[in-house]
Amino acid sequence: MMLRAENITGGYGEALVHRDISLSVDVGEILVVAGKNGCGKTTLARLLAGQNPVVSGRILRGDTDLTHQQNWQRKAQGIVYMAQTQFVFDSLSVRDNLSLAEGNEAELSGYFQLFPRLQERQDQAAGTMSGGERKILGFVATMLQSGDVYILDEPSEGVQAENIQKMQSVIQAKVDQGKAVILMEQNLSMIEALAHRVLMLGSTGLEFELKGQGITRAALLEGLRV
Amino acid sequence: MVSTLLVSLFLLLALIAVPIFGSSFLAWQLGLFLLYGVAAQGVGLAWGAGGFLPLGNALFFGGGAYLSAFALKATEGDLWINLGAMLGIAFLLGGLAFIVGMVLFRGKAGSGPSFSLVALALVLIFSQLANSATGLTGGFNGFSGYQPLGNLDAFGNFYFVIVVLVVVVTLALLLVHRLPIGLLLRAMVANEDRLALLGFAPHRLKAGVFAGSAFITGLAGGLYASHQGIVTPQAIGFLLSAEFVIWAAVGGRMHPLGPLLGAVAIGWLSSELRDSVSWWELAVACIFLVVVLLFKKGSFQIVETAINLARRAGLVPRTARHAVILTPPNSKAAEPISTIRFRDIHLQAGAVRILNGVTIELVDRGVLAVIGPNGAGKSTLLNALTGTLPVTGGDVFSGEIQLTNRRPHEVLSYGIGRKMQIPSIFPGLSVAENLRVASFAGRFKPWDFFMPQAMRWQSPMVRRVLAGAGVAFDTGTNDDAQILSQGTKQVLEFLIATAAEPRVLLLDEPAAGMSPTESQEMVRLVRAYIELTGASIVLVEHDMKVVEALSERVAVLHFGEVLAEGKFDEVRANPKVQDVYAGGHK
Repeated sequence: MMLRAENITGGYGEALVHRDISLSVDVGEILVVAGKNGCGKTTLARLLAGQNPVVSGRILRGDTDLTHQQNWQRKAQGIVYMAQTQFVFDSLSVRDNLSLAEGNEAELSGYFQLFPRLQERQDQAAGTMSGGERKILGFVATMLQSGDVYILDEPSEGVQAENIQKMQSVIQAKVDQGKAVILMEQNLSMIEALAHRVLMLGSTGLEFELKGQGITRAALLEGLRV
Repeated sequence: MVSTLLVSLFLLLALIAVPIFGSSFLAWQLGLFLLYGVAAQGVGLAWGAGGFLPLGNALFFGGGAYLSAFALKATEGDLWINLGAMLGIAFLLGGLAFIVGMVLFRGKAGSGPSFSLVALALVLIFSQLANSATGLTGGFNGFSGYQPLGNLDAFGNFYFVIVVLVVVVTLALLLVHRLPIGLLLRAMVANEDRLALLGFAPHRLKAGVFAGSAFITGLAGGLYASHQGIVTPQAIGFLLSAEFVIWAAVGGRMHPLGPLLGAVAIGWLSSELRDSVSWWELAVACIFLVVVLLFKKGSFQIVETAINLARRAGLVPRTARHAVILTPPNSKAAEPISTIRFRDIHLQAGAVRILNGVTIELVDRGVLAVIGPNGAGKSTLLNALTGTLPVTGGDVFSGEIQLTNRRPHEVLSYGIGRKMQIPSIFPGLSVAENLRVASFAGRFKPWDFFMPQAMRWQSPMVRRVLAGAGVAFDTGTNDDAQILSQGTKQVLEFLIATAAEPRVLLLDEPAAGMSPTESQEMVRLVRAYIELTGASIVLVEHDMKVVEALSERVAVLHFGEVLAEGKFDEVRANPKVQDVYAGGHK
């Protein structure tokens, strides 16, 4: 098991968003967390990545207990996180943003082929790129980082369909290498294309789980019904 | 309002009691601390409500003191003439501060530390002048030999003049917190860019706050001249400026009573310790450190926490405010305007050419969808209309009206509203307060800043949506807007942008971060808006289902140029478009 959360409870300060949520993601698995707006996908990602402290429960990476580790300590344990907002350093150039990810050259040139705009705009400050381009930069900078579990909070938001498909190929390649991915998403096409398992979050916590062939647009829409 | 009056009345009675039950020396001493306290309230106004740190406010204190001393010498004795002169001097200082504020805050550089440093430089210049211009100010020895205000005894009745100043200033500041201007200032500190798009000029508001701060501090300085009987360069120096800031920080800059409390408490403590403890400054510094580290909002936070606890325990009754909703006056932004046309728009930022000659016309009533690959210049096209980025060539017209390179706070008055790509709301304000600020937009007359009834305005657009089903503020509108999910923030910002009912509405990816079902909710909101207002809308969106459902016409942008334009189906069938942009849906 790559990452396991056992009965975690937490939120923002006194405002608890999640109570007793358990989940796990395995080697080579893409776990999607779906659910309608405001059900706490982002909060769950933040709890797992160590952005917000958990009030109770445990978060385990293999035998290592991450529960009381800070976000940077969890990164050292191989937990890589891309936030929904604020995922690049706006005042740094594209090049510097990518350098900070400390990825290897071969991987980077592969990403440049997929997203040529990033290579063309290396000297541009990340903050002056368009919203979608920034999202792609943040995504690439996240995937360049070395780690075992990638927690991605809505990487598709504001990205054109072609580029979403390219993102999907990058995510697929990661899990083919034996990494694990936890993906918070609203984009049903992306979920259908990628997910091995879908956890549906509702107002009362995890409502149901879809697996393999059961992951269909109709089943997902059922869970998202307002 | 009642609690505001009660607090002020209590303050008045407590201060009046001092010379009755204490000695006249005690009252004299307290009078000095109170004057310092009022000056610190001026600092608190700028720092707490305006969000900028005035490091040089002794400029206005000392300026008020010197000018008042000159005036007292020239107009000896008559109380009313003296008072009139002092008020005139405070207005003069306020006016100067407004001009300085307009110059500094208009440029982007003025908002942050550079403002504080310029203020610091000014106080250093004037304290040097006070020291050197011995013929005018008496230099190091100070300026004296004038009669106090109305020939009042500094150890006697003059104390009551100070009490009146303290109570009036405190009452005024407490009222400001309750009036629309107070809410607007909090909104400004939370998100200047959003407030500008609602038609309020942040630099003007800040310059106004700075003027108020200078006015209050100048009044305190004016009375200080009478209280001391001598004005020395110490009254205009950097050290005193820093002390104002410390008193405001220790007492609490967010509440009008905080700085007053800080100045009196620290002044008192210093005078007590000075005689008995040899390292008394160290003790004061330690208190400063402890308060600043433990209570971010100053020691007044303790009082507020206590009140909140008492309220929770039911000891203090809750007052239901703004219960009755008022229909606001019509919005300027809702007036009909001619179709907006972009002609050969070029926009270059640094070496990057984002727009390369875009010529496009909006749809009169309904949606023009702008689609295209990431980085094609879609958001930038909207920026060209709201003045967020200056265009480098071409122009934008509405009929005969030139709209090119207007500043962001000007565009709403031409009927243009905007929803940003990353939802731009007022964090730290509740959802209800966010909507209240939005309901001011386009409808405010200058006097409405101070009209309590404007706090009860609710835009008809907002009311309609809140009354309808399916809007995501399930938990009510009292939550901090900051903790809303991304998708709910999108809905909130849509409401903020449409509250003024602008005839032209720019929507930048309104359905980003929403599920397919919620995206359809957004489609319904946009349709309802068009029905209500007949607005002309520009929609940037990647979800083709949303584009198909809403658009009258579609323009495809690629590398900053219009690649194709037409009906949705025509554009989708265009092979040139298919080459660069397939489009998809969630």
